[in-house]
Amino acid sequence: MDHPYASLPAGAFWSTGTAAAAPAALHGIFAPQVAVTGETRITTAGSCFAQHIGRALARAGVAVQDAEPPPALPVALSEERLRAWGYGLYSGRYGNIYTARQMLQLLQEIAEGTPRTEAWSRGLRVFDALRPNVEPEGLETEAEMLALREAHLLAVGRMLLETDVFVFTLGLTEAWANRATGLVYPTAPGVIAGAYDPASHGFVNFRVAEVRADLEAILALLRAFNPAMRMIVTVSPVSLSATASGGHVLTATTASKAVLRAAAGGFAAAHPGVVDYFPSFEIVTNPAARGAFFAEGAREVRPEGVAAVMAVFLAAHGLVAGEAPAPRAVARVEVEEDGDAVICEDLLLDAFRK
Amino acid sequence: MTRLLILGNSHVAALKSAHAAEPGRWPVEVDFLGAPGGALDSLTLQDGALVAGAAEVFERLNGRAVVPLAGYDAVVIAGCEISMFRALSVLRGVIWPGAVAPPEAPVRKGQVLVSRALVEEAVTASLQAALGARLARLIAGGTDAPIVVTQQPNPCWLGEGAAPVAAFLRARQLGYAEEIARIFRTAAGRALAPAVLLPQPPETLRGPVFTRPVFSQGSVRLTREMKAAHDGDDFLHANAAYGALVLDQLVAVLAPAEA
Repeated sequence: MDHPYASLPAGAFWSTGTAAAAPAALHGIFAPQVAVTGETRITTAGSCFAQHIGRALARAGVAVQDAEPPPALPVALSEERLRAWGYGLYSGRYGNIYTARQMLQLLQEIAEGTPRTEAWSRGLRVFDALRPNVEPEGLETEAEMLALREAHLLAVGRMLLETDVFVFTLGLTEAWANRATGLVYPTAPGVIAGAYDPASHGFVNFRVAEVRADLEAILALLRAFNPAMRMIVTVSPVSLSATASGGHVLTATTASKAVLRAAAGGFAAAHPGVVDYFPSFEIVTNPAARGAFFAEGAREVRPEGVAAVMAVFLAAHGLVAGEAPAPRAVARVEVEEDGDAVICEDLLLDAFRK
Repeated sequence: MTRLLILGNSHVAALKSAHAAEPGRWPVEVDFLGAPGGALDSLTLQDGALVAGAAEVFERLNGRAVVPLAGYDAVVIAGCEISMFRALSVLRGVIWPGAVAPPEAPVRKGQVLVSRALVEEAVTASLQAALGARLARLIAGGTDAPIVVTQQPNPCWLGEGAAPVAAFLRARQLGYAEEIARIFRTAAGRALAPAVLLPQPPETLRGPVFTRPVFSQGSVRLTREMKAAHDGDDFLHANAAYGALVLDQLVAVLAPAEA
């Protein structure tokens, strides 16, 4: 008997597409509409999972951009220290960008040519509220912070002029914002620096429509830099380390990821050939993997999970995973054994847990 | 009486010549061990003694190539690249906001704007790799005695226009000399710990990054006899008057009860 499912491929069926398939080698889960080759100039940004994506792409020989490479020094800092200073994590020293709103704010700042941040303090040191984790020692003065932010905006803006594909990993819907200005922060005030003031700082939990609207605005702004720019959006499979929603962290995580997944899917569907949705989230959280892709603590993704994600991405684009380290602007950078550590501010929430 | 071992590269000559000129001035017993940097780099630690791989050089300059550390109350490392040169060379690649006035002054070609804190970390890393820091770590493995590192003197003010010290002139002209000197002292303190940095005696300074000529002119080469003067256009070494002030500092720090 004929029916609508009769001629569908194996991937359309749970039994063959998932249950009986090797979780590390899923076939047919991603059919790219946005081409990526070795010559494609890619910019990466997003939540901490995006660090893995950028590194794997660079290792595969893709031209991952770096607007702010480590400076040339007589004695290079170790890879670990460079990461602590925000180098080599993403295509710019913007640190983790967890929400679409944060990404939008950064692009708006660049387009307007004026820093729009706040100075947070910790002791006598000053921190850029929009990237508090790229200066581990903090800064001397607000003037220093603003000068460095201007240089950062300029470097990232110039890079965007030459970006072919922007890869953005959505991480969170929950965030903290300045009630008066609407400025959304990457971390809650007081976690790395700054002081939490309920009268000044409010909790936000973005809904599907808001994330979708932000993604549309991001695309419009990116295409103002380069009208041919395309996007690949993905959702981080890393769970929330804590929720301020009032609910349980597990339901908050599910809700957050559902919102991001829905917004990203709708966004990609609305821009065929211009925006791809790449299923990082699905590959890692695949029930058939029985949690094997998650590290101890069931939150961070194990290297095998990253490899599974990138294998799908690279195979779909006809690229080959590589072992070579990401190209560096500076020779003599010491390579640490523990080279794949991910810098993640939201982990600090755990450290500050009462 | 406190016993000091003072070792170093060519910069140890200032201290050695000062001590030779006035041996009774300091209430300490001093043994000197001088050698070029490459030879100092050949030192290893064996059974609590410094043993020179470049034995011939050490024998020629010091009459010995094995120096047991036991019996010394403190070890002093003189010069050995713990120098403002290290700090200024970092500024070939980076500069911090506010280093030059006005703040919007253009950055030099190849120079990246970074935080002052990152400059300090880069200078620290550079000093950790310097000969003086490597020797301090080596010696710390063989003795519990305090280790003090005396900074390599800043270049003579008269050398301001000379190519080797162009970075010092630029620091003064652009207005960040005082700040980079401060960064150097902080970074050296971090890089050498638990050894202690002894900065250049303040009375020898001409501004933040130069040495007054009276403490540079007449410096001698590191030889066994210590009688060969440096050429007149040597702006990098200090003389016995400078060395005497450093010895004063050392005694004040290491043997205060005897000073």
